[in-house]
Amino acid sequence: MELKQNDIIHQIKKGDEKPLFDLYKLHRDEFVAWCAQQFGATKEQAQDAFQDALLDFNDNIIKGKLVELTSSVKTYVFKIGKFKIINILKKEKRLTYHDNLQMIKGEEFEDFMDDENNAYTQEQISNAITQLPEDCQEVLQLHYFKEYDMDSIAREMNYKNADTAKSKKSICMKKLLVELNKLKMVLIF
Amino acid sequence: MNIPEEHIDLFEAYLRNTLSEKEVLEFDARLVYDSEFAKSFSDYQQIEKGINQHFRNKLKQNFQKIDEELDSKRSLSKVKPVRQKNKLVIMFSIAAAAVLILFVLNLSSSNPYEYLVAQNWPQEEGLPVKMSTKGKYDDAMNAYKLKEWDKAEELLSELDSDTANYFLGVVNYHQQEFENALDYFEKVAESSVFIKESDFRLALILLIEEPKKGKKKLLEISKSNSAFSEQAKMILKKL
Repeated sequence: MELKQNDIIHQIKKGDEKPLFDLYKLHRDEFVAWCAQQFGATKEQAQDAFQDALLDFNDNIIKGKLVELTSSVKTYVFKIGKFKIINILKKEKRLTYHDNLQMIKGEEFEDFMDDENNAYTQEQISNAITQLPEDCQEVLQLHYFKEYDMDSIAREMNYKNADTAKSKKSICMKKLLVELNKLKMVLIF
Repeated sequence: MNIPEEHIDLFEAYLRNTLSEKEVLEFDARLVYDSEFAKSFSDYQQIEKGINQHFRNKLKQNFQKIDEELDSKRSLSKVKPVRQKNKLVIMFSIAAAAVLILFVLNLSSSNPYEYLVAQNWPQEEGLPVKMSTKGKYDDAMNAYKLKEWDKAEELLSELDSDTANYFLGVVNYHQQEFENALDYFEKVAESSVFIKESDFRLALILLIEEPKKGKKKLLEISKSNSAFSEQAKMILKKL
């Protein structure tokens, strides 16, 4: 399962997620052991941090922020993982509830307030996406998560050309808004 | 809240930088004077962010599935030798030699201490490699950092020192050559800067190879002033 790091970035850039899973299998236990040793983190906390680290690694490649590594992939991901575990531990310490008021203190309070100002919750958006036809879900994933351009979406989805992909994406987005509005209506009534 | 359909393409074009300079100026101005338009745009951005987050969460769920797979495999491997041995005895009594090999292999892969050791194995980053000067460990360390274990072992074997023996021990552990790893860690002299790390790693590998000796060694470390004494106590508690 030894991964050639020069190929990893290229494969992920192409939309292949397998290298992420291979990296996870290869280094998870070492990261968990290291977090336990360095920070006294639990297995669950460390796994959570390592998963987020690999997701950020994936994002950085997709967004073109990471094109070449000067260190090994493991060192790079462990570095991100280190910040993730520190944040998780800090967050869990800061999250305190007042006995009577159930007030959330710290950054979480601001996050909570942000959520209140948002038109939709993440749960509503996720539910609405799952209501869409399979091909729409795929198009949205390719465009918004994998950041494919329209030509690449057309190739991946066997559409005639980039214009077809663009119009399909627009239709899917409109369908999503319809689903979101339906969810809002359910809440009102 | 509703995002007018006709706005969607405009929002898209603005966010993907495909509007002309004039159109961008108009868009920015509208954000200032038209609060409804501004709210729609902000909601649209939130939805885009939410879509991204949804697929990120989905990918994260795949990691969680891997956790389940890895953990269940591990617990299965603990009962594997007995089951496998029974099957082999019933079905292939003629292949005594093959059975013996399989049995030995299964025993080694199901060693109850391997996971504990892996969890407690201290991460070894390797020696720093400087760009400006050439050190005698540089090539070996480059291979080590790339996890090219065979190459690292070959290069380290050419160097006769406690440092080389220490890293040869680590390299052999990663290759699951536990006996070799023990030999190398045992060679590290008391005067070496790596003696504490070396002793701790030796104790961990002994735990896999000869549990009684491993426990004894961990007990010694737990009572010493080693930087690993607390960790040794923690492991002993789990045994």
